[in-house]
Amino acid sequence: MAAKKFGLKCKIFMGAKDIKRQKPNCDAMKKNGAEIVPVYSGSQTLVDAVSECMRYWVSNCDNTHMCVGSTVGPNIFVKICGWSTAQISRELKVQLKSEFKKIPNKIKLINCVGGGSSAYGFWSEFIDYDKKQIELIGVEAGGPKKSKLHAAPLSRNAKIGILHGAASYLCQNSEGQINDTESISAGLDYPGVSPIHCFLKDTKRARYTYATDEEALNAHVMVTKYENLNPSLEPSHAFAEAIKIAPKLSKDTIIIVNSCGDAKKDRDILRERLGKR
Amino acid sequence: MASLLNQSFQNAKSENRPALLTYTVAGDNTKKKSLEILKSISNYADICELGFPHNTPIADGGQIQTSAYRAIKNGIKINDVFSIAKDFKKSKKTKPIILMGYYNMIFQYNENKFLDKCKKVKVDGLIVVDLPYPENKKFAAKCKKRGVNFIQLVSPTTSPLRLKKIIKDSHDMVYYISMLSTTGGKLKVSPKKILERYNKIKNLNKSKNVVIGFGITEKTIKSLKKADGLVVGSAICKEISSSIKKRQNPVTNVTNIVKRLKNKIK
Repeated sequence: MAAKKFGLKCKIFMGAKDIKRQKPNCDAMKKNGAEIVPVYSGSQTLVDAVSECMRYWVSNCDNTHMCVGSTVGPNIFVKICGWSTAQISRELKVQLKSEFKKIPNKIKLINCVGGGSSAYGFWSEFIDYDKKQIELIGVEAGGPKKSKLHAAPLSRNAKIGILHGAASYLCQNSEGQINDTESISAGLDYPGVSPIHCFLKDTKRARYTYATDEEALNAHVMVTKYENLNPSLEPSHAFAEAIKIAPKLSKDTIIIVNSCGDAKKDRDILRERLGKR
Repeated sequence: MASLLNQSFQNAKSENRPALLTYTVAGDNTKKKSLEILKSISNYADICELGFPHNTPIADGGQIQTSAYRAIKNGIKINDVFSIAKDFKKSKKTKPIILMGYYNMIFQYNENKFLDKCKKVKVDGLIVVDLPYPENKKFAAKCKKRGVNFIQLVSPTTSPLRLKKIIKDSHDMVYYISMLSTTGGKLKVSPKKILERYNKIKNLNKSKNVVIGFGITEKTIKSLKKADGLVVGSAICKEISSSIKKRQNPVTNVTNIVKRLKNKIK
């Protein structure tokens, strides 16, 4: 953790519901010296944590810096986060060249999208490529199959709104109240999305779709069975899309999925939903 | 003709005191009750701010959040807020009313439609918490065209250059946020320091009415009485919450608070 490395104090704001469902993550943060501040307002998830973090920051900005762990919020925070995560795509480019000698002709880069930091980071170096060569596919959280609630503002045609100091497609009602979201994956459970992804959607550079909770779980099961990987529920959404489209693709198409999190943090949810493993 | 807002400030000045501004949330705890509260406290307040509640109020502390959630839970909609304002203005023609809220609700309602409605029900001013300068310039111009005052916010972290620009583009009233805080925080800066900064703003253009808000309660209000106006919000919302809890009439209790606040700055 950055704060530990630089000897800074660190407060993490987290929804009370997320603290419960991401306990292994919280334990790791605490072990690294962070203080976790539970947020009990609203739906007790990411959206409320961001609000509360901003409230703390405006009250203490004379001695505190705010970091947002996703590419959401006011402009500069999107840039700071995006610049950092872009390292993923810089490394991917090197790996591609060493594996294929050049950047292949048909690639699909599939990534889950909540706030959209890992997707932006995964795609950053490749946005300037023609989309016929490198297609960017973002997979949002479709929520439980039987629920009307979701966290997929891009792929389920939400209207543009303003939240946390930025304009983006936003899950909201006609009055402009922010809707509750629902997803098995805590990291994708946010009603807005990065303005960068809204731009990539509007310009049609990236394509956005969603996977339901059930599809993500199935993908997790399949990937852990056949690959030496243990993706958390966030990238399991991306794997779900890869599994869905792979049979229809030509043999020379290369799919790359960013397995951007480890399922250790989802241990409790997986145990509950899939039984003892 | 001077705006109702200007007149209210002048009136207070002639009585050698700051104007008293109150903030309540429309629909807290019901539509009817919030109108009753508004009418009753306006006998003592010079200017009434009426919040249109949002469910993600990032600038608000616990007290106003509670009021907003309560109002939304009771089903308050933007059009209800306008009808409360309209009813209020019918019986209190000379009392200025300021609507206050978050931009997304205006954006979804449609800026022009929202402002036309403001003009129609005779709203005097607007505070949009999360629409900062200079992003608010176009919207502020639209307000001016309809005779609605757009109220700019400035804070202790506003740089001198930015302050100059904001004051230059401001309308009749400017809102100075007393300290780094959300609403309802404890006043953590000395009144002397707050007034020092207040004077710096005031000296840029004496004709602007500068009010101070955030952290103002029965305890602290007297120490800031040199300002053009003082805003009390969370202390009032808190009283509504505690009245409901004690099963007492919020109208009486809130009116008593406002009466006491007024007495402290006379």
